[in-house]
Amino acid sequence: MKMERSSGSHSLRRLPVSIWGLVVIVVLVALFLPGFARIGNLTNVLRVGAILALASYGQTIVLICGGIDFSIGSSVALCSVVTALAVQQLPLGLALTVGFASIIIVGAINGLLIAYLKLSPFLVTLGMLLLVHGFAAIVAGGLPVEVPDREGIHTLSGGVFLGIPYPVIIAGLAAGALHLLLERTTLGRSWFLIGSSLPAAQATGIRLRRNTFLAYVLAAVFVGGAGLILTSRVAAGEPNLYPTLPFETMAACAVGGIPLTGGRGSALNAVIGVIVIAVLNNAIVLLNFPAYAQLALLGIIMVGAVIAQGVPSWTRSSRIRSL
Amino acid sequence: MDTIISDPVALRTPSAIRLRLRFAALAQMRYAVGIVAALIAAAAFSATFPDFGTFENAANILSLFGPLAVLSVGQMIVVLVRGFDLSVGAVFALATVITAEAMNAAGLVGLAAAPVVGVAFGLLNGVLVSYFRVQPVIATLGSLLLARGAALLAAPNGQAVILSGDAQTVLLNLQLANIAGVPVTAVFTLIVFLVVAFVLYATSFGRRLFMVGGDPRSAALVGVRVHAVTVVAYTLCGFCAGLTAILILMRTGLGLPTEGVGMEVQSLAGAVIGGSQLSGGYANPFGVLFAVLFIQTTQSGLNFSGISPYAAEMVMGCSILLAGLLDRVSQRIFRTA
Repeated sequence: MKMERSSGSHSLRRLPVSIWGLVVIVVLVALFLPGFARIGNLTNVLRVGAILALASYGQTIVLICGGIDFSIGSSVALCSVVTALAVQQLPLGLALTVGFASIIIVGAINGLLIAYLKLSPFLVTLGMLLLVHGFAAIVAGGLPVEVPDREGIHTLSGGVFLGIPYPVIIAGLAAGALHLLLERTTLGRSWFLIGSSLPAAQATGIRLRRNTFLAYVLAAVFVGGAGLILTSRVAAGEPNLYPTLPFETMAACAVGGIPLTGGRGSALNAVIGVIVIAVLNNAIVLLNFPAYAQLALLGIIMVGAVIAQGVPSWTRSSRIRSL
Repeated sequence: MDTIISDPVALRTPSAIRLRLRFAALAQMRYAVGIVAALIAAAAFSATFPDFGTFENAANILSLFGPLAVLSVGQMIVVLVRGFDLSVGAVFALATVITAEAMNAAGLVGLAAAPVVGVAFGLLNGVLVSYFRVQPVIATLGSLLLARGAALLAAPNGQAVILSGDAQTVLLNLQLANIAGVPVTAVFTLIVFLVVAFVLYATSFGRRLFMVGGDPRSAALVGVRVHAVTVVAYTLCGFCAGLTAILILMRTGLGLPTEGVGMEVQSLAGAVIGGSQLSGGYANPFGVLFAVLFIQTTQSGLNFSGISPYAAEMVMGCSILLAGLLDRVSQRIFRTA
């Protein structure tokens, strides 16, 4: 299967199934919601989606390795708190770097515990979710830390280049980087092997522990991008910044067609999943549904999308095999 | 994938059985983590704060730990069959809202709405996970969003629903009542745990839960209806979320649509510290009971100390990491012994 992929033909059959879902959804929404296809609205959809996209890239790497990351939401919160506190002493650029570094540290701790001590990714990242959130809340004193606006902190999230918001450009470049990392580097290829069969990966003699560790660190680099943009948008150190982020990234990956069982996935899958969710969220807003109905609808759509992608596999596999 | 005898241990000599027994003994020790942790926490806080080790404070902790305990034991059942349920917090929030409205309309009979809502969502999760093969993260996350949205829609303007009339009086009186100093809610919680323990250890359904969690393929080969057992496990978890809603209604007298955020993670923490393994096949309700007592004791103790309440969250996080480490150590001993 990997061989086919690297033969690199651009035929439509190689594209993930989920892309047809995306096309259908975009066409339907554009046809029935006149406000949707305006440039301003589309830009807005992408701007909102960019943060989720960056975080989902991190989740994608971890999922491919057969892991899972619950600590994303807490680490972006930590980033915002650390940045907000650092900006009182340091210049803005340096403060953002410190915030970014805090996310990398969380990722490195995850990686150390999972790769070198071989602890379960589920437990490690769940533990880190609580640990890091508690830490961020204590450091912030339980209340949001304001960042004075004159620091120009809004530039990162609000800036525009050639009509395209910075976050969208960053998310786009990051998608390219993730694609190259996954498809064109030995490290990236090894993650697929680690995720699909640990014994096989061991037998090939790749540096299992180092590569798993690097997966969590590089995932943290992408999450760090999301953390910085979020921090820039709220301009505050907020311990409860985005608690549902890990779940939303998992939803995006699942909708995009990345199984949570490891060994499969691509940057394109993640991008598709994020755009589907962003478009649907936007459509629900345009439809003027009450805000609460949005939540419920998002839940239904997410499960529906995953079930729809699973349909072909039901017909193939026998009952016992499926267990 | 294709061979039934994929477990190398099964191919070895009878010493494999001895190894299994040793592992089982280790797993029993693992269940004791919650108990030890609870005792250490209680001893440490009692030594530090003279007011902590009093009977009143113990009763206070017992009256507070019910909701998380019942939620965690439900979570434990799902974790036993290799799943987990992220929707429990949102489901019990929805159940409090619906139940409060039902009780305001129909009196005490309305209390039945809570388990009904819980069971409905548990059933939904179970069917999605087993028959539709949706991964637990996605299925229960979908239910979380659905339940949270429904709770906010059901409550007028998303505000809390206030219980009124006789129903409220009865519930609040029950909450305040105690049997020989032990709060009624704590007794209620204990009964839930005893029932779960009975189901797990003394019924054939309990054995089937362990079989499905330990090795679903083998279970299917000996005739266990794996999908059906999984559905019932999720349904029981939903039922527990419904019972949690009753406990919350007793304490607050309110239907709270925004309650329970983060409770899914806390209940997972309770199950895991209490000895459950996410790979399935292990569960001990009393391990979970003490794990939740430990969490509640730490929270109360840190409240006493005046340290930020978030320190309790950090302690919980560390406990989960420690539980992960213990799992790893026991696996290692099992493999190399």
